[in-house]
Order: sequence, then structure tokens, then C-alpha cells
Amino acid sequence: MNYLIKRVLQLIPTFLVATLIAFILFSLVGDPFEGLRQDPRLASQVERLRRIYGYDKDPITRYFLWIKNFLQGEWGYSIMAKRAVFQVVMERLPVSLSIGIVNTVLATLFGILLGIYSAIHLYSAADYAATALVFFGMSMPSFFFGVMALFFFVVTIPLFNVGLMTPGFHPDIANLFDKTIEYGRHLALPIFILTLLGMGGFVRYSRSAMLEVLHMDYIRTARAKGLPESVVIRKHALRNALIPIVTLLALSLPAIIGAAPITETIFSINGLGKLYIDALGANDIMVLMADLTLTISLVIIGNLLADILYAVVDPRVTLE
Amino acid sequence: MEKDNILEIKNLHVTFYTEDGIVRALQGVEYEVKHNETLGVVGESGCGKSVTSLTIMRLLPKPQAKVEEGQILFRDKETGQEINLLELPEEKMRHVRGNRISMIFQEPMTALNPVYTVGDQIMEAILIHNPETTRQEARKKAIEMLKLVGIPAAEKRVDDYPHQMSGGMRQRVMIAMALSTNPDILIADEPTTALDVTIQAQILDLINRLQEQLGMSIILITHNLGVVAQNADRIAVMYLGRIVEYAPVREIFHDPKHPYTQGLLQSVPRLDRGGLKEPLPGISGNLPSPYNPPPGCKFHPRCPYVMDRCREEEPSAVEISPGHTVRCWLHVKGEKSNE
Repeated sequence: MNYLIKRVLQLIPTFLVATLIAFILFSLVGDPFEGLRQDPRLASQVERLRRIYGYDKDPITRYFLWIKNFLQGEWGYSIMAKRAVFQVVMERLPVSLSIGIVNTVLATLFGILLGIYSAIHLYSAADYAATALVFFGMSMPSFFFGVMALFFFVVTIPLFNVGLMTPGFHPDIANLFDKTIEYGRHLALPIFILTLLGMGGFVRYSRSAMLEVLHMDYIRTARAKGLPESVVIRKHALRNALIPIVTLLALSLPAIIGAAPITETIFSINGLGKLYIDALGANDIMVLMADLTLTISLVIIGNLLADILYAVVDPRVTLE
Repeated sequence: MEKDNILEIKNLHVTFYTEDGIVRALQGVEYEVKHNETLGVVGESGCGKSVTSLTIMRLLPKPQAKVEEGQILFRDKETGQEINLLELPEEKMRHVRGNRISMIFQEPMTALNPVYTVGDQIMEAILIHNPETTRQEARKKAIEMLKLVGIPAAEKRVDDYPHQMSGGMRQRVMIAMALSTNPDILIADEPTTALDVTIQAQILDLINRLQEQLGMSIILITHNLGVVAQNADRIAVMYLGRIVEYAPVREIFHDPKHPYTQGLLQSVPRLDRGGLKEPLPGISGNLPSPYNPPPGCKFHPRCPYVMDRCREEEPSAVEISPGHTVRCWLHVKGEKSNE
């Protein structure tokens, strides 16, 4: 228990250092408010904004000003959207979550299952097919694959839909069921692409984990006991193979809020990934920092989760 | 099959088809195990002693290993029937494996599954072969077995994970697991090699005591002649996939016929002969590569008595006295006069 408390407390400096580095890097780009001077209506506000966000002081002071406000829910003002950052991010979050969660679940589930199947049926036709699929997924860039999918399944055969996933999505459709179907038509293609391209790592990882375990002495012991092969695999091999995979699962937590800026951009999906790309172009530091801080938080929590889960699945590891 | 035999291996040939080439791991191995007796199988690493036992258990790595020829006859104690294990359907073989014939391995540190308690793993063996047993009964039996193999505070340690135990303790757990189904044969594949010398003696004593107590046959595989001297009734000496000498334990130690057996015995350090000053003679040369074995007698490149014939022709096994066979041209009588 003490270990756990210590571990949680350690997250605080990690969080501060990571956000500080991000903040300083973005500060190198230059003054984000400079562009506002072009607009005669806003020119008079520039000095005031600079003062509010600490742009008249050094970057470190500015960082502490930012983090103080951030923790209080004041995420700043988006230059791009001309609205509060918090509002902008919260609008985009559900879209990214719906893609991210479904994609992460599918990619890990299919990835692990396929990897284990490959390992059990080593060097079979299915194993080679899985390997080919994995290498296709891992080497195919999403900007090409996405555009191809867009061309064939949206333009040529209008099976799916693309486009702005804005709040009040399709106000013309009143029926909730139809609305869900339409929502699915927008998300199915990017989710499919992200799953196909993202599961490769899981397949390779779980395949090699399973192969390693299958050569262990205790598997031979289990067979020598007279257990049927299915029990040997499910009870003795799988549980051990899952130990390293659990870590991978926890570390893929950040993916649920959309690590898919390119795919989102191709399919014009207004999620956090596209927001990030747009904000980069507009030098919208407050949006960038908010987006990045969310990701940083998930990475840190994922790491903690990996440590805890490790102790849960492996009796040799204790949280002492 | 003779009446007092429980297991007979006949003319067993096993080949491994690997990426690096073909290895004829077993070539005409024959031995028998009698009721409540211990057979010691001795030889250097790679001579095929473990392959033989894995063949009995039908646990050879697939698809590399192939049984080319031979029979493994096993007598079912209950029905008195003779079964050829190599022809048994897998489903029936599962009821032999771990139930009628159990096996313990060299590496107690890795032979137990790290994520299940030792109790779970013993209970699993009991439950799979006795479907009518309840979990409580199985647990009771597991604790009883742990006590039998001399684990203190067995009621508590039954819930331990393997990593909480020492190597010797784990080997005791393995023995408890193997014997929990009351098998007819226990195959012990180098059970003490990975253990400290003091623990080795304890484990061997334990196996001996349990054999008397429970009544079973043992195949004791080892590269250590000292281990079989005290424990075995008969000994098979293996070299490169063949049994080169097969005899009762007294004859092996007092009247070894094969030059390889003689060499093995000379390389055992003894306090009563030569003392500490004299160097051990040992066997010259190295074990030949199994991918490319020498022609003729496989031992001839290392044999002190090598003759021309040894380089060309491989000797077959001859019985020089009842129950004592040897594969060596030195002992092929009648043909010597032809030279």
C-alpha cells in the first residue's frame, strides 16, 4: 500500500516536468497573439491578452501561470476558435473517444487473439496469412490507405460517409436509431483503418509472448500430467503469455482519446487529433497545451495502471 | 512380454528432422522395466536417454521428431493387458500420461507454473484423472502428498506459489504431483542434477522410500553413476542413441564389459583408489556430432581397444551372461578367430 502511495505521489513531478517541456517547446515558436494585430477589431486586445497569459514575462513564470489556471479549469482562450479552450476540447472529446475506445478495444482484442492463434498454429497457412496482414498494416501509411478507402468506399461506392462531426450532428434526423446508424456510417471506415493499422504490434507481441511460453518447462510438465492440449493452452500457457501483454494494454491507454490526427484529418472528423493539427497550423498554444496535457495525463496513468496490473496477474510481483 | 515386466521397449528408432540436418536420436533402443524395480539409464548429454523417456510419454516435439520403428509395450496393472503405447489413440494416451506413468524433470525451478499455487497444480493432476473427486478431496490429497514428500507445514505451503519455495522443495512438489495419481511407473529425468549435493541425497532417499511405500517401478535417468549405484537394480548405459551395455547393477560396477562403461567408471572420483593426487583418467576425445556420427561402432574414435573392424562395422548387442548384454566387437565370441 505504501508503495502505491509513493508511486502515485511520483506522478506529480512527472506530470509537471512533462508539461513544462511541452510548454517551453511551444514557447519557442513565438508569440501566439501577434497574429491578432492584423484584425483591427482585436488589435486593442492584444496587449491585454499578452498580460493575462504572461507573455510579458519569462517562459517559466508563464508556465506556472498556465498550470495554475489549467488546474482550476481555466484552459485559456483559443485564437483559432475565438472561444474558451475548455469548451472547444470538451466538444471534440466525445468524437475522439468514440473512435478511440472502439478502435483500441478492437485492435487489442483482435491483435491478441490473432497473435495467440498464430503462435499455436506456428508456420501454418493461417500463421503466414496473419503475418502478411500484420506487415501490410504496419507498413501501410494511413494517409495513403485512408485516401484509397475514401476513394473506393465513399466516392465510388457511397457505402460510408465522411464529414464534419459537429455538435448537433445531423439535426435533420430526429429518430435516435437512424442517427446512430448515420453516426456509424461516419465512423466505421476510420475505425476499420485504425484497427487494421494499429493491431500489428499486438499480433507480433502476443505471438512472440505465446511462443516463448509454449517452450517453457512448465508447459511440458502440464502435458506430462495428462492434461488435454486445450487446457494446457488456455490455463497454463495463456495466463503466462498475458503477463507482458497486460503492460502493453495499459500503455495503449492514451490511444483512447485519439492518437489519430492524420486519419481524422483525412476523414474530416472533428476530433482531438484534427484539432491538434489545426492548432499547430494556427500556433494556438492554449489548445495545443490542453490537448497534450490530456495525452500526458493518460500516459502517466497508463504507466501506473501497468504496474498495478502486473502485480495482479503475476503472483511473483507484489506492490511492496 | 514377460510376466514380471511392466514396460518393454523394443527396437526403438527415433529421428529428428531439424533445420540443421537429420539426427538419428535413437537407434534400436531396447530395455525393460520390471515391477517395483528401478532401471538406471546412464549416459552423457545428448545420448538419447531423455528422448527415450519422452517417447514413452509420447511428448516428443512435433513435428521435428518421428518414431520410425519400434514398440513400447506397457502392461495395464488393472486389466493385465499389454498395450503398445505408440499405437494408443491420443485420448487414451492422456489417461496413461500422468496417471499410469508419471514423470519428473531436471529443472525444478522452471518445471512448475509460476502463476498457480503448488496446491492447484497438484490438485489439477488428481482431478484430471479422477473426475469423481471433489475439489475438497483433491485438496486433502494434495496436502497428504506434500506431507508424504516431507514438506513441513504442508497445510500452509499448499497455497504457496512456486517462487516462494527452494529448488529442493519444488522438486519435492514435483514428486508429490507425479505420485498423486499413484502411477505404476515414475520416470525421473535427472531429478537431482540441478540441486545441491546434500539436497540430491535427500531427494534420492525420498524417491527410494516412496518406492518401497507405494510400490512402483522407476526409470532413473542420470549422467551420474553415483546416483544409480545406490538406487538402481539394473542399468542401461547409452551412447549416441544406442544402449551399449545393459546389466544388473552389480555387474556394471564390478565387471563392466564395454570400454565406454569402463571409461565412465574410471572417471568417477574415488577416495579408496589413488586418493587426491592421482589425476582422473576420464575418456579421451569428445562426443561426436550427432549430425555426423562416425561409421562403424560409434564409440571407436574414443575407444582404447579400437580394432579395424570397429571402424567399419557396427556391433550388434550380444548377451554374454543372463541379463547382461553388450554392444562391442571385443565380446563377440567365435568371430574373433576369423581375424
